[in-house]
Amino acid sequence: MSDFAIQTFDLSKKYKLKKGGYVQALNKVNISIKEGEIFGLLGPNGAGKTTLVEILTTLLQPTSGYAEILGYNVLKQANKIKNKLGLMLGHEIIYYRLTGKDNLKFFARIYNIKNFNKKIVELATIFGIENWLEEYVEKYSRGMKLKLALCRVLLIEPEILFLDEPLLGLDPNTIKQMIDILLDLNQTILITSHQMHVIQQVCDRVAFLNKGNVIKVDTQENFQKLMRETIYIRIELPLEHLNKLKQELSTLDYIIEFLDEKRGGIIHMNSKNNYPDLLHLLSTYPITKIQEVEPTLGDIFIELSKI
Amino acid sequence: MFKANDLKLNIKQILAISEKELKLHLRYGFKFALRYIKPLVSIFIPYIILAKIFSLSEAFYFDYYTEYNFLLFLLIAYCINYMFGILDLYKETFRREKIWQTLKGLIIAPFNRFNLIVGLLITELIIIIPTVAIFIMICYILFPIPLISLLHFCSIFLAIIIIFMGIGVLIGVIDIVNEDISNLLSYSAKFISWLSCVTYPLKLFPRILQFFIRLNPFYYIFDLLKLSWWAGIDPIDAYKYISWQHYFVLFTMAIGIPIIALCSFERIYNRYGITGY
Repeated sequence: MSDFAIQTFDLSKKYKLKKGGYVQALNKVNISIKEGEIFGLLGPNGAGKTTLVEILTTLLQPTSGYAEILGYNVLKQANKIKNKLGLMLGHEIIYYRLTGKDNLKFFARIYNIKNFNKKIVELATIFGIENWLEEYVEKYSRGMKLKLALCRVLLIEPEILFLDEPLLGLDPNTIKQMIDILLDLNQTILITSHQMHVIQQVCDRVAFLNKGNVIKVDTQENFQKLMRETIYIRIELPLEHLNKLKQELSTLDYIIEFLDEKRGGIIHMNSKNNYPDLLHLLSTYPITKIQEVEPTLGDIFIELSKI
Repeated sequence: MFKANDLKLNIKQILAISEKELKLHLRYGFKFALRYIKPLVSIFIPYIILAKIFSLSEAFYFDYYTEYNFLLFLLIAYCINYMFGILDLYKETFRREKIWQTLKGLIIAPFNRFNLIVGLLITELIIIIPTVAIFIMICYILFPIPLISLLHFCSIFLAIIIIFMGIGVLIGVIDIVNEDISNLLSYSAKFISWLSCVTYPLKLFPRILQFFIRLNPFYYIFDLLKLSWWAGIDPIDAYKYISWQHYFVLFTMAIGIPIIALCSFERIYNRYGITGY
């Protein structure tokens, strides 16, 4: 038996377009996820995250390559892994016209879960939706739907959890609560998101996916290091001083680029070590506003593509 | 190797599907009630028309339709019209589950896909059977027949349910791949069914239409259903109209259509995985 819970081997998926040609959703993706590891898939919309999850959960067939879950081939031995997988696709896979309890009962019976009534109440209590179980799901808020979706996945007691954008659109308190629950599970989890802070708090390792390609797979520590090293500072100043500042910045080797904005711009630098030096330079200008900006996913991709 | 536990699990899953579907049906009571009313409307106008025609002269008859038995055939027509819902059952369910994205939950589950088909059919039967049973009871009170004839009638009725289920699965499967074609097929199936003398006797139609109706396999199975009851009352008259073609069409369709439908379902499911649209 392999040490890896999930492994992909040159996994590729092409979608045929109506107007002709193809979209390469996945391009020879090779990733290995150990048992008990929380693995993050980070990428912008259309990066291929959901396609990868759908192939790994037997929903889609790859164009080429293959994948193994707990040593079983996803294509040829799908029946052996189906009761080991739990899939949460945002707040999908919920019947909105049924009550929360009917939804959970339905899936518990499909997965042949014993004593499911007790487990449903336990899980709903953990997620704080126990008073809503008898209500129709269409009355639920977005956060409650996500909680119900996660209840559904946990109810079937899977060995591997696939969570596709599980915390999108939730308020910070709920996100924190959900993250705590995920961390307590001690299970193999593949989580996809384009919310960096979520991935940052939950995952042991992270893969960056863009246009179907894995740009980089790294540990959380290295990922955070990269985040720390990528610094963006937004400044505002009277525009007549802007050209002179830009000229001075272009002579500094630690400045990567200057991005123009309406009232100033964003300075992109590669290390915090040169922070004092930059602040000294800026103090000679009539700066009206200065603020450090968290790098966006796109910024991280730009950084990674340079590696 | 077949295991008792597998059978138990399959039954559990089928019942889970049925219960879920029933709850979804019952969510909107008025829409549900309309299903009972619509077929009533479909025999109400034919009743008025046929009653008027037969009241003109006692000598009027159209094949086996007479002043004395046309009500029986209209009651049976109600049951047939009521079963037409099966034709759209799978199309509507697959489409709904596709839009709600809930089918994915079943595809990744350790779940036999045929449980879905059986589960949906059971739900439909739970809805259909009480009403059909009431109408059959009314027929039995007004036009009593021997038990053996009643069993003969019920077997033909069951075969028609199987045929409708097969066509329904076929339309549902095509809907997964191409909604447009399935809409066309669904309408065509209803049109062909309409052109099969469910309510009116064949002789009432113009000659040219009679020609096309005789090419329609549905005509033979609905004709056989009606005549199977009449055979319990007046076998000599009924067997003037029942031919080997009636049984041949019934058996061929009852065996062939479900096989074609289930093979297509298996093929499309594997190829497109339901999400492949």
